[in-house]
Amino acid sequence: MRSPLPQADTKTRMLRVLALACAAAAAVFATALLFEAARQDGADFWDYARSVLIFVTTAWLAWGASLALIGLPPAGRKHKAADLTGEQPATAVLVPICNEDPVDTFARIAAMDASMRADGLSCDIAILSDTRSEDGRRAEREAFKRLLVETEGAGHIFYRCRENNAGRKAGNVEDFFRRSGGAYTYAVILDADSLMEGRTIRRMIAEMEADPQLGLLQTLPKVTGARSFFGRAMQFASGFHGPVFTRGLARMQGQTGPFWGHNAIVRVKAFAESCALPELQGKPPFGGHILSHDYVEAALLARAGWAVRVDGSIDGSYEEGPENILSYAKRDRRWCQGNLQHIRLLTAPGLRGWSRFVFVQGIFSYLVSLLWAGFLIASVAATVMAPAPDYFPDPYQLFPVFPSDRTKQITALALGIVGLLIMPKFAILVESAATGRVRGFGGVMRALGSVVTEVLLTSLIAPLMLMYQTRAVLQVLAGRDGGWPANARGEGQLTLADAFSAAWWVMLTGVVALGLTFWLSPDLAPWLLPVTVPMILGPMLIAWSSRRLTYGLFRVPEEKQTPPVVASYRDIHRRWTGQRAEAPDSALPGDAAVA
Amino acid sequence: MIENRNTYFETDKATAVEPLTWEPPHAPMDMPRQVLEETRQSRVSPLMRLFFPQRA
Repeated sequence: MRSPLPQADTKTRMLRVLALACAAAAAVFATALLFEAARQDGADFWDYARSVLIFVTTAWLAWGASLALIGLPPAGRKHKAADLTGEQPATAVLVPICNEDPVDTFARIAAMDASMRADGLSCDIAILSDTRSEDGRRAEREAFKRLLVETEGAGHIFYRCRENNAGRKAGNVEDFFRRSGGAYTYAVILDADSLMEGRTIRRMIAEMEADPQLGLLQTLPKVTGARSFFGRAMQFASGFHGPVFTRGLARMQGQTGPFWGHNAIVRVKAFAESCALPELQGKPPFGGHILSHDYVEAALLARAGWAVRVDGSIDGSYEEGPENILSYAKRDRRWCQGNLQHIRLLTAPGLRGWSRFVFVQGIFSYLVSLLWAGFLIASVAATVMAPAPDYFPDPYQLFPVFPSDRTKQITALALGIVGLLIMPKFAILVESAATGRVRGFGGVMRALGSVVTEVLLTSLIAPLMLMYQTRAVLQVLAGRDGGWPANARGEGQLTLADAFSAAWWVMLTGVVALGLTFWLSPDLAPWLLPVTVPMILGPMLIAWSSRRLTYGLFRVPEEKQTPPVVASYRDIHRRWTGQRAEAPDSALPGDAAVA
Repeated sequence: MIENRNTYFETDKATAVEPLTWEPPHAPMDMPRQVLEETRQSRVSPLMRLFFPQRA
């Protein structure tokens, strides 16, 4: 048995206390403002209910904002990037796949293999297939033959297909460790859409070698290849805001960091001895296989005394993201079920306190939508059920007493909440200008345009996501299993009909909510417009944001200079599919329109 | 170096029967199943476990 991880250092603890204190202070302030305004006509059940709800939801928002603020100061020079000297330890790159397009995935593998060789690395690559259909398996086998011939990869690139896909992705990786783990010191775990430079993998191995207590090192994958308005907005957010949030997370989590399931390296011995997940008692959604296995694996590594670290400064790590709101919501449904399943694990024996807290955060990230919906309903109910104002409370008074106007408090509350949402993003803009990082995003003015547009887009789609997440939470709580649908990758442009069939109920809910509020309390209706209008326009928003973006917003550094492994992947993919070469990525999309 | 177990390349390509796998090296490793839920025999109250993990 390994000795337990040391307690978090003083700095890490102080940051945690600071973040919690900021969240609590903002929540108390928001609750005080709301309750002061609400009690003017006498406090009833609905006023207490919405006060509790605003406390919790504001605390959540402030917690997220404090994460960004803690990540704002740039990294010090204390930690020097490790380099690999001496013999390279045996390392396997694992690519678990399930019903993916094999040409896309295997072209990525060919590009990574070339990149690793160019950087003097000799790693094995294992494609671990869980594809069920015979047609899919046949296509994978054909693509694999081509991969072997092109890369001369016989003997170091492997492919196997499980007959039984028990445990899904976690079970797939576990199966590899059980059969082949003894041959390797480290394993780089990827997703089907992951790409990593050879030098990145080299550095990850070196970091693991430099710290014998490190069980897992997570990189921050940057989103590449987005084409649609929505996809490019998410790509920009991940590249622009992601590093700061990740730095904040790393500072706050210390040695009990996160695992996001891919683009990470693990010490095989550590993973094997501590991460074989059990099947939870009972049926899905709360029982059965653990869906969000990565959080649990990180917690189990920490329980066994291994450090888990996230390092956003390691570049050359890429993935793809959803291209439209529906793909995003579909992925979110799976994550929601996985995170809510962690309720069962909150009291698992021996876990670190911070690991439990991370579970709580994950659970809360979905429950909060339900709480926001509850807050809106409670606010309407409180207004509708408020007693009529009593202008003459004293039977002998001469002049009427008008209820004092609390519009200022409510406006301050609304502005405060909006501020918590957008302030971190503009603070990151200032940070990027101060450090020069903004140049990669097209300079200050273009980055400002991208940040403002991304804030507007996320504000518009927030009510849609609130509805999808609320539905997902209710479905899980009602015991409905969403399964593990394959990720939708690719362009994903949606027609209005597609969008309508997926979001008609959101639209209908918006119409009914707005109509009812106008009927019951016309004064309140304007306050609800920022929520109800995007709901009513939901199908249009979904279809419109899935269209290919044809102007120069959301510029990211990887478009100015395509990373070598990404360029190599695109070349190989074009060759394999017989496509004509497109314009280089620096001109995509829409540079012509800008010029 | 790891043994080449790639059956596709071990056979004559022209007459090869489709192999089921091109398997990674055979080097088994023990992976003990982790305990995340208490069994009935060792049930300790969740609240007790949270505050006194060493007793769980």
